[in-house]
Amino acid sequence: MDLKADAKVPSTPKSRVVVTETPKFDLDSYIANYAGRTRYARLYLIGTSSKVLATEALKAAVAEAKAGNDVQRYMDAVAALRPHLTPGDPDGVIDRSWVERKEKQNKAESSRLEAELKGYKNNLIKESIRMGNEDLGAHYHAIGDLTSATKAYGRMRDYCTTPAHIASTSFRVIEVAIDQNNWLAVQSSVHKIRNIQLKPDDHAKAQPKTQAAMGLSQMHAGDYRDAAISFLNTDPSLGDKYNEVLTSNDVAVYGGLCALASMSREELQAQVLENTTFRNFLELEPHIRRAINFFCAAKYTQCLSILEAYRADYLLDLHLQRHLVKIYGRIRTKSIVQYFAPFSHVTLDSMARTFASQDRSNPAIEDELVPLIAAGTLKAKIDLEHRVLVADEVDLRAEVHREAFESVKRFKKEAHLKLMRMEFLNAGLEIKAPPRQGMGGGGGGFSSIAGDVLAGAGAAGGGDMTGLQQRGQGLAKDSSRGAGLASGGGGGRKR
Amino acid sequence: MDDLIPKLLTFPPVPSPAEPLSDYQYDQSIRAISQLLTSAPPGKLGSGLSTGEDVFDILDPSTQSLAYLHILHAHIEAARSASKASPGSLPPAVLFGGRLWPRIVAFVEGFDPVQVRYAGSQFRFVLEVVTRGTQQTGQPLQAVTLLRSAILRLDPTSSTLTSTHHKFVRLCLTCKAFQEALPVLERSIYHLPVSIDKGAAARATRFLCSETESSASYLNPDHGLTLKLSSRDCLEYHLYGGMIYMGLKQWERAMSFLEVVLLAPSTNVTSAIMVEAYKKWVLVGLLLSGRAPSLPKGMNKNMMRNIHALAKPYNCLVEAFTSGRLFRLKGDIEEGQSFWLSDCNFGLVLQVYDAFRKFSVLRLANIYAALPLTEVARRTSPDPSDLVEAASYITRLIVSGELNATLTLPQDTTTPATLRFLPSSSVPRTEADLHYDLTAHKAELEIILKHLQDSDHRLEISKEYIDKLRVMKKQKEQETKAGVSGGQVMSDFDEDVMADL
Repeated sequence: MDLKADAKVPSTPKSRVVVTETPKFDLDSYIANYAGRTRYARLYLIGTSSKVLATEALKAAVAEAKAGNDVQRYMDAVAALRPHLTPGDPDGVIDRSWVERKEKQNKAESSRLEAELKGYKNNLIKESIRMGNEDLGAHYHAIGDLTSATKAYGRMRDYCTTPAHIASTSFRVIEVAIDQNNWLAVQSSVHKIRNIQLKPDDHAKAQPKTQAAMGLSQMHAGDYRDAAISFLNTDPSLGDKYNEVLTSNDVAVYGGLCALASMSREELQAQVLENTTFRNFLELEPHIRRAINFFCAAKYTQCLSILEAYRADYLLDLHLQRHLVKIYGRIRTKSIVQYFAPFSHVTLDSMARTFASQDRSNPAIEDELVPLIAAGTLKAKIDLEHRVLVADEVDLRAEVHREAFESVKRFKKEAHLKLMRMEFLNAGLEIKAPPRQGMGGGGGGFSSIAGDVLAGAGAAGGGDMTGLQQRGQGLAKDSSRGAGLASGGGGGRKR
Repeated sequence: MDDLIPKLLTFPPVPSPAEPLSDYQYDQSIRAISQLLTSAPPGKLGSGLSTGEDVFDILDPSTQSLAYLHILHAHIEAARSASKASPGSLPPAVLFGGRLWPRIVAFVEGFDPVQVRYAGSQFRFVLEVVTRGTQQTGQPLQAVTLLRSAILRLDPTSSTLTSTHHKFVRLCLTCKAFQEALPVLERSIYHLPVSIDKGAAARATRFLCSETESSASYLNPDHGLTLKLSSRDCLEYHLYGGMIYMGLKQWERAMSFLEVVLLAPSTNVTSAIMVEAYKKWVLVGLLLSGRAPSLPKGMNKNMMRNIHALAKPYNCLVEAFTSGRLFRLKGDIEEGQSFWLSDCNFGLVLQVYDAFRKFSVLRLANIYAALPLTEVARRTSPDPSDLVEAASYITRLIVSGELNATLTLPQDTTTPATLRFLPSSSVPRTEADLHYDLTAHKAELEIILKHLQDSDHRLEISKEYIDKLRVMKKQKEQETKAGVSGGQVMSDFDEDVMADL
């Protein structure tokens, strides 16, 4: 069948991380926790990233997409599934009839809603206009036209009367923005919700969702510390109310990992382990709590091994995939720095045993340490002769003396330069552009950047510039000879 | 001539009077003698004595410097007009080996600086003759020593720039007499000659012969001891000075000279000299610290843009150096060869290349406490397998004091040699060392502060400042009449003074 010109084409998946290990979770029960559009997004991610679960996940993704209204998603899922199936498998073929039918349906629905909205606009009833826009936005969101959805929700703003309206509009905007990965919009919507006056129970309902959304956007922006704080302050009443975006387990995991990556031991102890509200979340993911406990107890090997064990799982998480390597890297760096803090000398072997190297090809711990030392995070030096890491000893007294002398020298230099500058000005000796006529005259003062003036000075022959160059050349020849200029100076000393 | 001699010999009074002459009396007597000498008809001073004695034997250059100078001047002029030499060159009597030469040398080495202040242009003339004469005979080094004694005798602090300084430095650079230039260059310049404010001078109760705080009061174009300097001369002086220090490999001092050029104020026009100075400054900065030097504060942004546009190859070179990769540095050097040659900086660039290896070894000290020689060679040597060469290179660095480390070469050849970096505190500084340094710094600071105060004073009595004060005062009076607090005006006023800098 011929496809119409504006028919959708499957998009190729972006290059993603490939996970070869089997994750610990069970796909069906995992995905059952989620609702809404995030189900497809997660299934698609797992399908395109995991080697083990690819077929299963993508088949589920196809089913999910077919159950919904988003044609593009269906086509993407089938295209991704095809390479995993045997060539003749019917699941690998796009169901064109379904596609056409759905597209017609979607178009019809869009026009119907638009017409309704026009009708409401003519009637000028605020509430119906608002509801009409909301339905339109929801429809566009469902079929995958995210830009129109945002526009529709944006139009709702003018017709919102009560704070509850504003809150619900903002939540809708957040949903679409999360789908679009537009984290700035998420943050601004969250701020909007926080600023309005809600009734106490509405507020209680909104709080966990806003905290979670905020934490998510901060995590994606790379502010792991702020993200951790947001997640830690999420009220446990979240339960499964925000399943369209994330579950309480996710809050536990994201919060725990961000905290580990950004907080010090004391902070972790106080704000995570002793946090009564967050404890509810941590109980859902006991291994995170164990990892944090190990870290605070300075048992770095165990902590890192727990994290390693769950690496595959987290790499398949929709929001963590992009950040996991960075987060794990930070946790590892912090562990190394903290491990070394109480010692003055540590053998490289014991370090290597505690921190098993991640890079299979190069098990040498010192190669991992060198960039840390160079960046100044680890204040130590490597002694390759004795294979020891030596802590920096700072002789404070000598440092103070040295700095004092440095500042005196700097002052003298700056004072001298400023005085000279003032003298130049006082004597009227600022550099001025040469007068228009008489440019060729010998020492014609300065040159502006116009190349002709520079050339003019040189051509004038008397130009001391050429003299300067000859002398400079002599100097250059002499220094390039390398034999100390003492010989030149010594020769010069004869009378 | 005969009648003049007794009068000339009356000053300074011999034996010296019980009570030393006051400045006023001194000034009066000297001016009388000066009048006498300048009003004499041209031929008279140049003529000989009737007794046949040489005038110069009677007069003593160190006590009757004024007379000696004028007569010397007259004789030189007479020789020039008498000789048939071309106008550009000097007659043999004035050159080395000539009749007048020993007189000239005796004068320059022994003149009385105070008396000479009253005959500035003649003094300058004699120095000119010396410079040109030695250039003619092809022995510029004599000029170097003579000019140097002249400069230092006239002003032992040598803190004001004169045209003589400029000539001196140029001469030293042409004949590569770097060490000889040091006594003058060591004393930094703090003042530039400015035509004196006639009004202020009239108000002051100072005479030319009085002891002054700073040499700037008598070294100015009005008294003839220096020609009026153009900004180009001032910049050139510092650039040449920097180049001399570069020749002596004293990088830090070279940097300070070059920075004076870079910070020179301008009306949004960039000077070619500044561009040259920047290029050399960047290279010397690399040689000094192994990193790109940071610009001195206060550089004009426009000029920086212009300079960067012209000095791109140098900035690329700096980046290649700091990137720590030898290939890239080598490639950049080879590519820019035409630039380095045309700017006459090729020698510096080669030194930068050699320094790269040194700095990469020094950088290792930031990360490692000790490492085997094989590792050092692998990371820094051009030929990683040649350990003997690496060992000898490192030994050279340690011996020259640039690297604070120990290299142990074990007896058996199986275990590799180790390089162990010593922390800087391993070279202990005694209390005496610190005390010595502190007093040295203190003395230098005092000198700077003195110069600062002097400049400040001169600015304060300048006409423009007083005019401005008058205007400010009027404004303040008007504003107090209108009821606005005066404190605001004062703070604006302060800001205004500094804003011009």
